[in-house]
Amino acid sequence: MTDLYLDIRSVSKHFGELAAVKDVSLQVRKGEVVSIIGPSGSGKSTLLRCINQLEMIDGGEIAIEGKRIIAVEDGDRVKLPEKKVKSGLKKLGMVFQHFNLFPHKSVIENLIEAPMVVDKLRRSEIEPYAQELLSKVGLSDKADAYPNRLSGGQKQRVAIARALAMKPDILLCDEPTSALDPELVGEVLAVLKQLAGEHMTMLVVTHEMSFARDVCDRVVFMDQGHIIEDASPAKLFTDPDHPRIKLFLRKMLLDEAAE
Amino acid sequence: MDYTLQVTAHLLRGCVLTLQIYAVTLIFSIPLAVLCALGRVSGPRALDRVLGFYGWIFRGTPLLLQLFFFYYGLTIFNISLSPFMAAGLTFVLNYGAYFMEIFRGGISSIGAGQYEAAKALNMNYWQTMRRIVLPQATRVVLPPTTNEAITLVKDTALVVVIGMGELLRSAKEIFTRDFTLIPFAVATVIYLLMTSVVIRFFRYLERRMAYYD
Repeated sequence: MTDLYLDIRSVSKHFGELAAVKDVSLQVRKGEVVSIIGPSGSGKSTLLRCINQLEMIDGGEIAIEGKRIIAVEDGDRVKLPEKKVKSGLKKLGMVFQHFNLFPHKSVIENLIEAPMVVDKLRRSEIEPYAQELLSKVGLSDKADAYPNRLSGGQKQRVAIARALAMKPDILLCDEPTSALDPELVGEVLAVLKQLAGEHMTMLVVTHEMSFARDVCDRVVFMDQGHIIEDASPAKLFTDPDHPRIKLFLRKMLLDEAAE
Repeated sequence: MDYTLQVTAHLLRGCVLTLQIYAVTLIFSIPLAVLCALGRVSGPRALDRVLGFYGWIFRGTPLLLQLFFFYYGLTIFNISLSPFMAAGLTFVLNYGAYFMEIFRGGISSIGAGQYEAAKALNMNYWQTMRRIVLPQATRVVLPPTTNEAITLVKDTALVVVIGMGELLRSAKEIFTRDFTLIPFAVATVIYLLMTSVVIRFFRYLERRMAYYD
């Protein structure tokens, strides 16, 4: 099962009384692009953040390429070998809704920071690759600019390149276009689409129905902390099993048409 | 004119001690305060409490009283510090307390997104602090730190109470001997020169750190 890149089993996450993610299981195979859609507050982002331990789960387990990186049994964290956990987490890259670029570092420095500090690479070893990534996201000319000087779309493309600079196997994207002005959404989606075309494994929380429908291999619908459907876009967008989804899609597609 | 030069020379000798205490205070209190601030922000609650107590004591009592305590007060525990040791210790702990609170605020002003981005890139705690959080916090804390650094120039005059001959005391010595205001005028000029250097230096730092606007 080495092609099973991400294996989420019965994961739960509570915030105090609120159960944000309830007993969710989800598998992503190598090269698959999976989007998570659903109404706000349905636990999509929380689930994504649980994967790379920005949130700590209180039930279930998560494995990356067959190796568990976190497991909770009967409310207790299972002790896992730290090295394996670290190497598992290293296979994950993350793109945030609000970019979270390092404002005191130039674009190229944002890209090479983690490879230099975490992987102890020399600048000369990583910079050519970083430049390559910048040209891939169409920002070669911004290498020496500081994030404050960039548009939202440019910032997010830098953030994608920064995540890719660590050579992740799986890219997690948390509403990558939700903080953007409408006219800047396209340039970011184009980059994600290109990555999908290169068979980057991706899990994308999104409100962009067209992206979910046209680019993704599978679409997962979450509602009130549960996955209520996990299907191909063709199925989910035309003939979902759940009436709740129909309602949601009708509203979203109307909104998109209105724009 | 000769007289004024003589006075100035005498005051500059007093100035040496002022500058020594100034340097010792900044060199030791700033790193101390960075560690204490990190302890308050990311350490266990007990450590936060202890450091909060330290800040409360040293910010809540007069510097003069603290100076008395470390010079005279410690003798009841059979600890006898030289005037310079006592003054250095007092100033480092006192300014450390103020800097700790300033730096704590600066570190807290860095949003959670920066920590999350660093964590998602697999940076550990020290890497995150050293490379991402502290450089940004430094910029935030520069203006209040400048204020403290200016105040410190003048606070050094307090060491006269434990018998040390610094700048202002040298001026007073001449005043009592010759009954002229010239030494105070010269002292005024010297203090202004010293604070100007401090202001210039910090303004230079602020400009250097504004590169990413």
